[in-house]
Formats: sequence, C-alpha cells, structure tokens
Amino acid sequence: MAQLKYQKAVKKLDEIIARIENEDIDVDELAARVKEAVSLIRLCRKKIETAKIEVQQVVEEFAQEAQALEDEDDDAA
Amino acid sequence: MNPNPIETMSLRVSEFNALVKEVLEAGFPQSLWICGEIQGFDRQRHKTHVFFDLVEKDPISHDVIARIGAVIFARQKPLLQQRLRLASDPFELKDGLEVRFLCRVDFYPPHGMVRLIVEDLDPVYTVGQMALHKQRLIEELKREGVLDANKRRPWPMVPLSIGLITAYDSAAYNDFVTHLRESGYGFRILVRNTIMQGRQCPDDVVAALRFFDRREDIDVIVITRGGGSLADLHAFDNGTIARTIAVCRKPVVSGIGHDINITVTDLASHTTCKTPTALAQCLIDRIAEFCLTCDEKINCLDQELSRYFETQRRRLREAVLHLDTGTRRFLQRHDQWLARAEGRLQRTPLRVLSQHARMLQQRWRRLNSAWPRVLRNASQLLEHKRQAAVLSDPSHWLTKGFSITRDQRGRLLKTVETVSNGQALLTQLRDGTLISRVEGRTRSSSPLSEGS
Repeated sequence: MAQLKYQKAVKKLDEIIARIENEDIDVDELAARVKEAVSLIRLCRKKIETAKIEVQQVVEEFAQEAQALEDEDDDAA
Repeated sequence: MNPNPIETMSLRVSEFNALVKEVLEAGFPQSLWICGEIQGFDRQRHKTHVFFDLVEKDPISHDVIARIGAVIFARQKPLLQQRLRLASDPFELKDGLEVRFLCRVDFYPPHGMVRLIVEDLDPVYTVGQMALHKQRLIEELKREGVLDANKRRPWPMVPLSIGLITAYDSAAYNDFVTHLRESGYGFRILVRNTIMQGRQCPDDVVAALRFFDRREDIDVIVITRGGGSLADLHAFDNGTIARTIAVCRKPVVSGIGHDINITVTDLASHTTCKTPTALAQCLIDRIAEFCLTCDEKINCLDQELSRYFETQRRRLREAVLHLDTGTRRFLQRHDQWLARAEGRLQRTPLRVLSQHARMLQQRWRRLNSAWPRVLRNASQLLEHKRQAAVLSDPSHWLTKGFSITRDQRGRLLKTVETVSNGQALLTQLRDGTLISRVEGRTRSSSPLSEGS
C-alpha cells in the first residue's frame, strides 16, 4: 500500500466512492471497501503532509540562501 | 751562233730595276699625301723600322681593292709621335686606323718593290675619319633601332647583383668597386676580366655581354673603363657591341672614358655615365630610391595599420560596453524572473497540496455520505421483500376474511364452469374447513381474468 503512487491511490479511491455512490456494491463488501477507501484517504493525506513539510523545508532553505546572496551583493556594492 | 735580236735588246734585272727607280723618281719628284687604312702595323710596332701596308677597302664590301707597302724609319718616329701627341684627340698608330701620310715614293731594287717612306702625318684627317666612321655607324644603328632597344628594358627593382665587364684591377675597376662598397649596400659584383682596348676588345666585350645576359643571378650588366686616347676608345664605336647590347635582356649600363667621349657603346646602353664612379653612384641611387620607396610604403603601411588598429580598438571598446550593459540588462531580467519564480515556488506547491487536501476531504465526505445510503437502501429493500413475502402468504388473506375453495381432489376452484350441482366442495377458512354441496350457480356478468 505504501508504494502506491498518489495519483493511483486517488483513482482507486474515486472508483470505490463511485461504486458506493452508485450502490453498485454488495453489503458484504461494503465494510471492506469503506475500510479500503479510508486507508487510501489516510495514505493520500500522509503523502500531502509529507510533501508539504518537504516543500516548506526546501523553500525555507532556499529563501535563506537567497537572503545570504543578497546580503553578500549588498556588502560587495 | 748569232745572238738573238731579242737577247741583244734585253736588260738585266738590276738594269730594269734601276730604270724603274729612275722613272718613278721622275714621276714622283716630290713627296705627296696619301690616305689609307693601316694594316700589319701592330706586330711591327716595336721594331726599329716599322714596315706595314696601307690599303683601301671597298666602302660597301670592305674588300681590299688596293694595297701598297709603307715604312716608318726610326729617324721619323720622334716627329710622328709629336704630331700624334699634339693632336686635338691624341691617338696612336695601329691597325684599322685611317691615316693621311706624307710619303716619298721609293723603289728598292733588291726587293723590286714600290714602297712609301712615311715622312709626316696629318692627325686631323684621322680624327675626322674616326668621327665620320662613328657618325655613319650611329646613323645606321639608329635606323635599325639598335640604340633604343636596351633602353626599353626595365630597371630591376633592386639592382644589387652586378655583372661587371672591365679590365680586372684597372683604375676603373677599383673606382667602381670601391664606390659601391662605400655605399654600405649589399652589392654583389661578378667581374669578367675583359680586354678593354685594341682589336680584340669588341669580341671580348661581346662574349662578356652574352655571358652575363645568360646568367639568372645577374640584375644589371656594367661596362666600364677609364679615359684613353680616341683610338683606344674607338674600339667601343663598334656595331657588334651595340647590336649585342640591343638584344640583351638585362639593362646594360656603361661608363666608358671621360666627359666628352660618348662611344657608340654608350649610345646603345640603357643608361650611360661619364665615369666608373658616376656609374657606381647611379646604381647606388637606384638602391637608395628603392629603400626610400620602401620606407615610404612602410610609413604608409604603419599609418594604415595604426588607423586600422585604432578603429578596431574603438569597436572593441564599444562592443565591451554593449556587452556589459547587455549582460547587466539580461541578468537583471533573469533576476526579476527568478524572483517571481521564487515567489511562485514558495506559494504554488503549497496551494496545490492544499487543493489536493481539499479534494481528499470532499471524497471523504462523499464516502461518508455514500456508505450509510447503501446500508439504508439495503434495509429498505429487505423491508419491501418482507412485506411482499407477507402478502404472498394465503393465511394472511384468510385472516382478512377471504377463503379458498377446492374440489374433492383438492384442486383450487377458479371458475364455476367445472362445478356441477350436488358436487361436494371443501372451503378453507381462518380457523377450519367447511364441507358443502353445490345447489346452483350463477355467472358473473364480468368475470375477472385469470392471474390478475
């Protein structure tokens, strides 16, 4: 499950939701699918969270670098 | 024997010669002036008494048409030499010279020969003859175009390599070579030791001219000799030398004699100078001129190059300036672009992520509302089924007051047609079964169709 790409996870989630919304599903299967959907949502959220943290980190680092460069330019000038 | 009358009339040789001498002396009582060309003189010139011939040649064929023996006795030599020395153009007696001698006609019996005894000479005649001969030759060569031919040869650009025709180690040679050396230019001189006077002179000069003209390493041919008697220089009043110069591919520069002596060779040359030193100076001037031209050209080139480099330097400076401002502008634009990109980079990914988060939230809501619906619907369906099942149960209907009638064999009665009077019927009710007999029957005016 952890290896699943975000897009694929979303696609799978959409399929499950569509089936449930269309009631194209057996009651026996319902709990299992809902459980799967929830775990897909959880997976996607986790991916989003992770990405967000990484992006913030990178951007922050870069902003610091850029600031340092600007300071250097100012010193040079 | 009687003596032959002819024998009695005959003379002995001595008697005859004595007679001839007598007749001649009577015929030529005084000395007389005789003109002719000297021949056979040169070989005899150092003897005490010089015996030679005077000849007359056909003016066109140059064949000898008359000849007479002549002698200069030792006692006459001082007088003759004085005459020659005092001439306007001093010269010496030699073969080929046209002379006018005062002669006494003499017959010398032991030899039986008529001979002219030279008593005096007229130098004016010889000088005039030589001048005349020279004038005729010049006119002839002019007609042939010989005198201008070598003048049309171009000067070599740098005439440094010289073929020198002169007598080796003569004064002329030394003057010429010394002057060239003193110039400091790198002249290269090839000397051909040449006979510069006398009968052999023309042939030797011609050979030297041909020798140098063939050589590829020679730029210019020089003929020079110092001043001399008119007769010495007369060797250069020569048609063969002039014609050879005319066909030379190289310019021939001549300096023969001094000042007033212009020989035919000089006239046929490309350029002529009065002395060997002047000749050397002429060549030096050519080189100096070339060097000056070179200097001028180098100066021009230098200025041209300076101008060119200045232009290029200016262009380069301008280009550097443009490059500088261009680069600044370029970098500025990219800085701005980068700053915008930076801002976008900071905002966009997070926006995308929160969009995804929102989308996920929606899906969660959809899922959360979908699954209870499935269950609700399933239970509703179940309820319907249950109700249908209830309705389909006959006992349900029996409680509502309906009954079921069968015949004796238990078959359901759905029509009055198959029933006959007196037939027993079983009727099931909620709480038991009635047994009855048919007493009659009526038809409905509108019977229900089966299965409804």
